[in-house]
Amino acid sequence: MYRLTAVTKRYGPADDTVEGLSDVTLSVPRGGQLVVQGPPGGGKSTLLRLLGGLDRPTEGTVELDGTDLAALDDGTLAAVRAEHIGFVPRRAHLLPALTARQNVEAALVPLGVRRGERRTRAARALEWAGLGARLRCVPAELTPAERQRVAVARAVVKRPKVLLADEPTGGLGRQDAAEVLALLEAARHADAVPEPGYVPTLVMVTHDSATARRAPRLAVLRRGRVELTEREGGDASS
Amino acid sequence: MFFTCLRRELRRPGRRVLAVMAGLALAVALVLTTCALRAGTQRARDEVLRSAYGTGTDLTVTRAAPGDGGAPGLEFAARVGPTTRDGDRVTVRGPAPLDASAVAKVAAQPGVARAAGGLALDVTATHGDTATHGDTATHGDTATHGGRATHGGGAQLSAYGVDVTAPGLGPLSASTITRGTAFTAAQGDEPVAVADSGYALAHHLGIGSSVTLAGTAYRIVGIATTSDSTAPAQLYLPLRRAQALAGTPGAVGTVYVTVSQEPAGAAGAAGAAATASGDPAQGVAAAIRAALPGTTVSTSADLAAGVSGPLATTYRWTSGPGGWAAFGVAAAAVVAAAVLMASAIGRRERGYATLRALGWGRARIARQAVGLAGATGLIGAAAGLALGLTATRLLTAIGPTLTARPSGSGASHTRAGDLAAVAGSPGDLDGLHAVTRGAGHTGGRALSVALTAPVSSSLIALAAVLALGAALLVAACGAWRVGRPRPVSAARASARP
Repeated sequence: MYRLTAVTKRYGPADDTVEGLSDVTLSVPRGGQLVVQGPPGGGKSTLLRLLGGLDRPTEGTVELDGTDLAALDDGTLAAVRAEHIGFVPRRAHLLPALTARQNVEAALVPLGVRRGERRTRAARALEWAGLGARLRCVPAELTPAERQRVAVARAVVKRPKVLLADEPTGGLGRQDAAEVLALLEAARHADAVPEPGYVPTLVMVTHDSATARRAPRLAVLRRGRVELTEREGGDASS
Repeated sequence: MFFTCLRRELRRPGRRVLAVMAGLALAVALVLTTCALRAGTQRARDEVLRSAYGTGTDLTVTRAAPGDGGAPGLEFAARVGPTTRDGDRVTVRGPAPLDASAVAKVAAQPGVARAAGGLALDVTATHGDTATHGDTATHGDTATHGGRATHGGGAQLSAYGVDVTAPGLGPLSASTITRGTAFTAAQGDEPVAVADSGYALAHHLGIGSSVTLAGTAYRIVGIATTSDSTAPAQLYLPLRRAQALAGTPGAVGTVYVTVSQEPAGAAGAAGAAATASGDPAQGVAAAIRAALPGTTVSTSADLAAGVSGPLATTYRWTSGPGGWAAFGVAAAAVVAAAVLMASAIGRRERGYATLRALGWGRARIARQAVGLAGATGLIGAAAGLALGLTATRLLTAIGPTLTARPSGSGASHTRAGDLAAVAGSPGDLDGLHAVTRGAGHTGGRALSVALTAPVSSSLIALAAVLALGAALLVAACGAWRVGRPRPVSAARASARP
């Protein structure tokens, strides 16, 4: 599970700091779901970077299954990201020179998966995402929604403990956004994901109000401070 | 995945990557072509010098022309000749010759390994039955030379008296004896001659043929061929026979000197100072100047510096400002390519940030970036090598002709004139109009040399090292650029819309 304890993140020089996050404490249980909302500059992306081990808190701790991410060196942190964390960034950020399948394969490279197995798993993940016929297309040949689905497949293919999605439907039309959200939702059901029995924790930044309404836990970030709404259980606190 | 990424990236290179390749190709091709052109002009200049002065000559000594720095108060002899005998007018070419003791005095100077005299003559037929080519001989069982070609009045022949005791020194050393034999030391007083192959071809001369000059028949004992289109003279005679022909016993127009590789020893204050400069020829030249006042002593460097005309201009240009400008442009192109590569890597920052988010380690990402930069550099450099080699081959194939005018009294003679004479009728030497002749000591004759751009293995090695260095520089710039972003900025790049 994720546990953030008194996390503060400041940017800038000592005499002119800006607080991205301020004394945030929350937790997300394994297999749970947290939706993050808030105005621009509220700290959503900062929270996601800390959860993903892409940045370190100024104060406090970020624990994933009891491991303090901030205490790990760069190499170990990269290994944690490779094995346990799947990112779905806004606008996919696929590598433009690679095909859809090769983009998905890229997530398996740091895990040392052999080429043949990489190709098989990447193809299976893309078929699961509805892109079985688009394996050899480069990003420029895909629609924005297809690119985003490739990004979801890339995040899911390595079966991470955690899926972090940063406005995954940003810039998409309503129908396309719904399909991408449905895919992310499907990734959390054991009978729908590529690997049976696999249910990742999902932390998603989104402006979609319907998704926010359905989410069991909703964190609203304003000026670096979190207001948490819980709709089931009591495993998160602020 | 490394090679997959590399292959896919290079299959569709962006504009920046293409510009990097083009920049490196330009740089390598420019350096290769410039160096080859420089070597080609140097080779052409050496050919001109070799044609004019022969091989193995480090110094030449001639009588100083009036006002040419001779010793104060020295009386210069009047120009010798012309001597007219039996229908031929014989003129000593160049300034007044040196007297018989000059060669011995030069040879006695410290640091002189060998010295030999030479005398350049122009033989002009004053009426129609002189300078006659004979028909007499056969050589072995081949080549009977028939016909009796008679020079019309005014036809000229360039002859050169060579020291038969010093083979390999002087103008004849620029040629190879392709038929017959060279002079032997015993032939110093015999009426024998070596003909230049162009002249021999034009006038159907072979071994055993004879050429009559001033009433004396000279038997051809050898045919000399030069490697280029210029020949020092049409006919070579033993020095004593040439002196007798000109009516100047013991006189030499030029003394050819080979400098010893051993330390010159005491050569006077000037010589010691010149030797201290590191060039032994300068020390020997100073000693000769001191021993023979009123002479002009030219070193190889002086002779080379004295070459004028388009070839010399091209040489100076490729060795000087043109060469430096080319190297400057090449360096600028390499720097621009490196900066562009850094920029191209910078534009991939988002992609690399994505890879970091996927768990790729910093080293793996750097390897990918450096691989891309290095491959780009290598492709550009290889293209530059190919481009440069193509350009040099094209240049050599076209072989633009440049003319050069060596200074001094060295004789030379374009074979084109002789060959043109082949087309003329027997007895007509109008073809010799193309033979270019200098009028005097300082006005050398124009020689035509085909310009080439030779590419040696060392030049290719140099270009390869340059190419590799440029590729490494580009790769280093790529590595520097990819190493710059901190994880947080990478994440921001990834998060940017």
